[in-house]
Amino acid sequence: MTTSTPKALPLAGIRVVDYCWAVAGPVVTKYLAMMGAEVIKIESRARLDGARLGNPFLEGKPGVNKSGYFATHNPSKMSVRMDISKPEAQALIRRLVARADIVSESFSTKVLREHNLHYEEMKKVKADIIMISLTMQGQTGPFAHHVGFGRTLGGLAGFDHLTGWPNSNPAAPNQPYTDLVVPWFAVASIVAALRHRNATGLGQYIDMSQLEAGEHFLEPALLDYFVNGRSEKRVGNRTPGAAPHNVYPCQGTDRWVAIAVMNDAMWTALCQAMGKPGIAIDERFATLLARKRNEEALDHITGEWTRPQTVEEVVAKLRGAGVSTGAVARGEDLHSDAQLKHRGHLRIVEHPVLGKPTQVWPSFRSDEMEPEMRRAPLLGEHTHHVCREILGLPPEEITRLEEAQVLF
Amino acid sequence: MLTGYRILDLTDEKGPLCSRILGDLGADVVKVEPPGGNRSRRMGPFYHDEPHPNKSLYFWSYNTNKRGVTLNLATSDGRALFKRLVAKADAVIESFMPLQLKAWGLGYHDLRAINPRLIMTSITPYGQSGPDAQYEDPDLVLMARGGLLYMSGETDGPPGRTRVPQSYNQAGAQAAMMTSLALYHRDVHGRGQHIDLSMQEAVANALISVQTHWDVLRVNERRGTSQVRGKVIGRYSWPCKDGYINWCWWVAPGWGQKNYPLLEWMTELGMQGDLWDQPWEEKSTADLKQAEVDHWEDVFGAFFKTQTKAEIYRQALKRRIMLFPTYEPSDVANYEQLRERNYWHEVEHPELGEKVTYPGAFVLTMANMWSLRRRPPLVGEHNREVFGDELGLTTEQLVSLKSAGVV
Repeated sequence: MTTSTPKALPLAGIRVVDYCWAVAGPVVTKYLAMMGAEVIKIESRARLDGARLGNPFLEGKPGVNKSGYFATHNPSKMSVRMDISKPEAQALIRRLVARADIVSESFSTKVLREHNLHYEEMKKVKADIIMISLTMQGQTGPFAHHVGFGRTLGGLAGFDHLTGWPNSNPAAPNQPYTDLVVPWFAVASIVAALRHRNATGLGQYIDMSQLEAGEHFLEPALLDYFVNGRSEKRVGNRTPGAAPHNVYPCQGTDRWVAIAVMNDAMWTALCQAMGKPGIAIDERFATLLARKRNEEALDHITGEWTRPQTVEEVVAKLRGAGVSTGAVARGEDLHSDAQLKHRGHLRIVEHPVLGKPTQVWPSFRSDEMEPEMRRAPLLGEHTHHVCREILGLPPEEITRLEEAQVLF
Repeated sequence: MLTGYRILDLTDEKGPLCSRILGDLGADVVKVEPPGGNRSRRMGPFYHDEPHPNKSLYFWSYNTNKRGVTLNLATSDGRALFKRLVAKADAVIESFMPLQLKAWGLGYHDLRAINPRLIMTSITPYGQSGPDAQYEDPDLVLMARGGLLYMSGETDGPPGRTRVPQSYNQAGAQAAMMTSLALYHRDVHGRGQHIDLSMQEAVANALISVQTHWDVLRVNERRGTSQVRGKVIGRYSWPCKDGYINWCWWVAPGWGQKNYPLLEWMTELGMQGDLWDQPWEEKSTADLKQAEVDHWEDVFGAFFKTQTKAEIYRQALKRRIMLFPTYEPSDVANYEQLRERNYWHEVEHPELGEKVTYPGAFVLTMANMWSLRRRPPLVGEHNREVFGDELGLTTEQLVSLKSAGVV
């Protein structure tokens, strides 16, 4: 780093009115916020963002400001408490949107329409507004209104069916995985919409379906069906061009090491590291085709070698020998991984309730764009600020709206 | 829209989705491969199972909307031509190992000297620097080291990955997001930049709460088809008559009633057991005992086994039960919702004399920002168009370069 003054971020000056809740939507607006946009998260005790009630909580005790889950996905935003089912709140939102560039939401399809806050209405107060809706399956079609959440949607998309072992249950990553697929498509689309607006003066409505974005992460399997009529199944860690190519047990409970032998040289190196140079030329394993034919036996031999060792011992031996390998990292391992430490993957961002939690850093580094990472807001922390500074409300009016549970 | 941007895509299997996304949003993408094509063309499955560089379905998936040229960057002529392309480009996306481009005199600082407004996005396994930066590891190892593999597969078996390499797609899609922001940044502030993306870190950014669980509770989240809920374990995945469905029960004031539409259906078929007598709305998950949960799950599980996934999904839609079937590719391909939204696109492959169906718009917008305009390029298909028509090379010069293995 040669400079010390913070550089301007790309979305400085962009204001976002954000109703997003749960994970996918908030991750989109987290990136907008980290890249300089002013994101005003509209929340309410009448309709709490479910993520505020998501594990893990500090000391395991629930509380709207104690969720590490919420803190992870909502940094750098402001939080305003407004009950959008109240007409007076809707009037305030209209005034806010009139001063905004983007509106983002991830409710089920009918909610904003019920409150008269849908795109056609927002367009009346800000002609060039860009509005994005993030749902499970889009705004139209026979299943548009079917509600759900990411952990189960992964099944519909095919991630479950294509993950895990052929003789075991379908088992995608045990989390709402598509919630961390769709945001990357969404942010790129929003940037494209901003550029379009800057060039033409036109805003637009963006309909994102978590299913439709997610399928691109499985696209080769879909082409295989359309082109070859083959409906693929999960195959564990096998791959056609390499063997061994799997995870192997190590000392300890549920500890595994990944080993990927990508060519003959790595195979010879593995055999030497295992102290079994003889099997390198054993006719059952000497060629790739032989190893593929006898992969089960090969996995057994490799696993017997790793089992009494620690993950770290195996990795050190194989790395030194030039074999592709790595720990199957658990949460705690991500905190101690030397390479992730080098990049500063996890950085402490102090929080008045959570203390000194770490924030997950984005996957990129650039001298020109340093993410602006401020802690996640407490519920309603910026209600007064936004009412006063952006909406220009006098203090007595703010008090009245609080008493009327409009700011709630 | 990203119309008007010229992107040069040097990626192999690591992150071709990046410029695919930018191309879908309107950018003009030129794929630059070594003569013969890059190694992602060796990845299966293949069209009609014929392994051939122009028939890799992996390559097809992530290289639509791109034109393709070949260029040997290890030669001085190759490098000179590449620099001429860079002079007119807005962004270069590359996935060489760190220092490789620099060794060829084509590192970010070399290219910036030619085009100060250039964005360069580098996608590597572990980033440009650090103790592991020079290890060229494949998807399996990156999924392992990024934490997603530990979360994949059944609880009581070994971690098992997703069949389509997710580390490559996570890196590619996150790179597309950052590159679009960098282009916007340049248009506002006038400066190009170098984006250093780590695939390991891209995988770690696909974790919802693994890092924070360790941070806050010193607990490692675990893989499987069930989840820890309070002090009990509740399942997500249920076998049915012809496959699986995903569903979970709810217990809590304000949430328990979400079970009732399913219970009503079970009651109509006489399979409700004693489930109406359970404290769905009275208790919270923290008060539950595993024995009572196991009992519920036996009753629910027995019911699901009597029904097909199609019937369960049909009833779920009608009754507003929050569940989804576990679809396989053939189900996805024939799913009514995607068909009704015109999700699939037929793309002409003239070299095969047929049309191929591709997944479609990841975003629907009023301005039709998304489009699928061309099939993936054959190896070197646009050499003449780009080197001849655009850079002005003569036919004789192209023959010389071809003979010398440059293009």
